[in-house]
Amino acid sequence: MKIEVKIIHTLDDNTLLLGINKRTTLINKIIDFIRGQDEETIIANHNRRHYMISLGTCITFYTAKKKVYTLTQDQKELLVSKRLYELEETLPEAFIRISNTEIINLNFVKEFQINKTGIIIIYFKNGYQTSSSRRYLKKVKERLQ
Amino acid sequence: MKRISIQALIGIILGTFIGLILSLVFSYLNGAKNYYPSSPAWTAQFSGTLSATCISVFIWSLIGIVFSVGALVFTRTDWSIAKMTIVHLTISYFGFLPLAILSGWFPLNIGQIIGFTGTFLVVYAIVFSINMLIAKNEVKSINRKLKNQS
Repeated sequence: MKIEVKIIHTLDDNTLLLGINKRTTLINKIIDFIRGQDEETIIANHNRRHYMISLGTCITFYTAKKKVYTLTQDQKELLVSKRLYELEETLPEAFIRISNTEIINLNFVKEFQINKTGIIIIYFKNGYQTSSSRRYLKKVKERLQ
Repeated sequence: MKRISIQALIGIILGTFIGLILSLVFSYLNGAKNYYPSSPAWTAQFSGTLSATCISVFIWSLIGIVFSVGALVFTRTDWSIAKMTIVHLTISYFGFLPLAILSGWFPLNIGQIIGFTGTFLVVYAIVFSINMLIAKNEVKSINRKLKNQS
């Protein structure tokens, strides 16, 4: 494929103009790739297939039976090949650890509650709920400044 | 396991220290000229002060272990506050009561034990309430901040 790069000063910032004479699967792949570069993504598996998922759609990352899973906005559960402590370091600001086994995306949280026995329960906008260890509450509060 | 051992060692040291200070204070308060590791009646059971003190130090160490190892319960912040409080109460009550009786701190009669148990329950009810209050305030302030963000 012949690639030519032209600087067009009249274009808006952050705009890429692709000049093609026909849409092909290769061109579509390139477009997907460029789109993927812009938002933060993670590779996850579902039924032995790899998917590239935007982190903005991930509600939570949690450990179950020594494996790490993510739950997406559309309630899909996918296997992630990274450990929780690795994710903790690399995930964007919106993600925060709430227990030894879970990191959540604060953008999807509806509210926190405490029940009568003193368990912290987190309710999400899509109906998902989980519980938090009290030790991590202080850090959650600090992150929300 | 390593953590429990370290915690137990701290308990032995702290238990012995606190026991020694308290027994010194009480010896003076009783107007005695000699040192008594516990009440004079209890100390009299032994052949001399040396062995009475020896046994006392052993018991103080065990009491120290009960409380220092029991304190590890409060690091289990994934447990509910109720579970944490009840487990801690059980460990310290059944660990401390027999040792306190053994060391002659109070006579073995029903009235004393009921009083002791009552005090224990009241203290733990207060501890539970304070922990609940702290957690509730934390949750409230987090929710306020969440609302401000969206």
